[in-house]
Amino acid sequence: MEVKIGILALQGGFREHKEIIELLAKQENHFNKYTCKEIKTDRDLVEFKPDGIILPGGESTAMSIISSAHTQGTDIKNIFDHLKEFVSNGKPIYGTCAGAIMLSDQVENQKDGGQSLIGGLHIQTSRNYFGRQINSFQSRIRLDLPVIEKSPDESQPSVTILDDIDGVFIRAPGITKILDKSVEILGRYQVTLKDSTKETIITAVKQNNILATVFHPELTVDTRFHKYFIDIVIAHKLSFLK
Amino acid sequence: MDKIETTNKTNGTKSSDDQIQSFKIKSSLAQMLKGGVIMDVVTPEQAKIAEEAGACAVMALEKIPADIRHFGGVARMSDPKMIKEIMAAVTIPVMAKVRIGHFVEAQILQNIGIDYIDESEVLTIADDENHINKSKFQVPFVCGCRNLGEALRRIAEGAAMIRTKGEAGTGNVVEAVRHARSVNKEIKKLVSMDDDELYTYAKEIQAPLELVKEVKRLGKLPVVNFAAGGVATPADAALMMQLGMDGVFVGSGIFKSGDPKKRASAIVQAVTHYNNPDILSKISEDLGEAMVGINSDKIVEQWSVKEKH
Repeated sequence: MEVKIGILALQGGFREHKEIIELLAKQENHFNKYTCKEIKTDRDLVEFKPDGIILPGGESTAMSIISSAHTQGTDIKNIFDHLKEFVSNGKPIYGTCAGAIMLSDQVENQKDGGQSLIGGLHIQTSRNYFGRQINSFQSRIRLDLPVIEKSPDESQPSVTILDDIDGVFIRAPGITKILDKSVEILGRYQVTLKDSTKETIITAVKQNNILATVFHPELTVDTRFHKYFIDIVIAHKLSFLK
Repeated sequence: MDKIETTNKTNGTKSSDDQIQSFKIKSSLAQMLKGGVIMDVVTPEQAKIAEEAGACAVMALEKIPADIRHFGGVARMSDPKMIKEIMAAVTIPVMAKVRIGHFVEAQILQNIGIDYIDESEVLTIADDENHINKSKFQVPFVCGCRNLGEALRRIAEGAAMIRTKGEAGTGNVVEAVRHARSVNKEIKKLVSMDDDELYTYAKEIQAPLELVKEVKRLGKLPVVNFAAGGVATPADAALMMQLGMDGVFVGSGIFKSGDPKKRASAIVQAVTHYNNPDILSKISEDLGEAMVGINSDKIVEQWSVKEKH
């Protein structure tokens, strides 16, 4: 089966995601073929017809402005409108850092005048939650990933535990509120904030086919989290074939 | 401030409550700036215009390069108060410049919480023998280069991002193109070399052997590389992107032009859609007057050649 992953390429670390998907494509040699394309315009999206989309890290303000600027005064549709449709159709989408902000229903600490979002993920995020670049950090974190294809055999574990993820947090947002019980928390981490208080933060969430992380697995050589996203994409695609 | 780690390829050897500040953290922010435009601004109002136009970061400074050329005299780090006002005005990262070798200016900027420091040839040189030992700082640095050897010397000193020098304040892209092409050409040459030739090549370009080997293995610089110095139009920005740059700095080109808002937005679009002539034609229309520009062979002082090392 061909699995097509589109990567929003308006600004930010989109090349790193592409490299991870390409790495996974090399490892896959049985039934599935992964293809990956940078998405910059509505036309790219319509032509490529991705099965899953990744929203990269970068500056969310820049991406939301770039998404609409060249469409002004034309009948070209803003790519964010296409992405909203993609999300509301229940298709798999994964946002890292700025991508997680764009997927959030509510965002705190926006630039003056606010910024346009894609939304659909029922969480509240706060931009630059930990402070400035000097407060960026890297640490080993643990994720508990619900198994996508549940086996009828009750003795099989229902979560996969990854306890050695290299978490890279760059001017990261915080997930400050979960707004609906359909949102599953995949990981927590105790962090020392800039005023030296300790706080347990949420590092990753899942809501049906939507994934979001405030850290950057694409900045490491670890492909496991992206593989998890691809498993969701494959399961979603198969659900239409059954 | 005691958690500077020089290497951390040691995945998993740290206990989970150990937060590490490392080279990886420094170079990662630059990776998130890719595909974006970093704009010179002198006031909080200009910083907001830049943010509204879609800039991925701003460079806070008292005088833009064209005015530094015009007024002359010693150009130094900007007033920290003015930089702090710009930091408070926008939510995107803020960079600022220090003089080459002036590590105390860098200490001051690190202390006020700047996101990135540009050790810049645009300001007057403070130490004509040594650059700042950038690996001693927690805040990341960007430095200019004209060729591969210079880029690798800066990376060896701890720079986490590289830019072409170009010739700032001229509105003429020729030097930036020259520097981008020369880095590209030297990397291609290096990649095609026999491993036995690397020792002499490292000596020739005056770069550390380890970094030379790494560039051969990667086929590119180990850090992000932006274009800077002379970019004035959306077409200039797209040109630099097609030459393989990761993003663009625009200094005097925006706020020395007739319609800064429109030009800023157009340059941001050009960096994203650098390979799309339809969009490039549309956004290049009706931008008002570009900055007048100076031909770089007519300027009194070429900044790009003033560093000796």
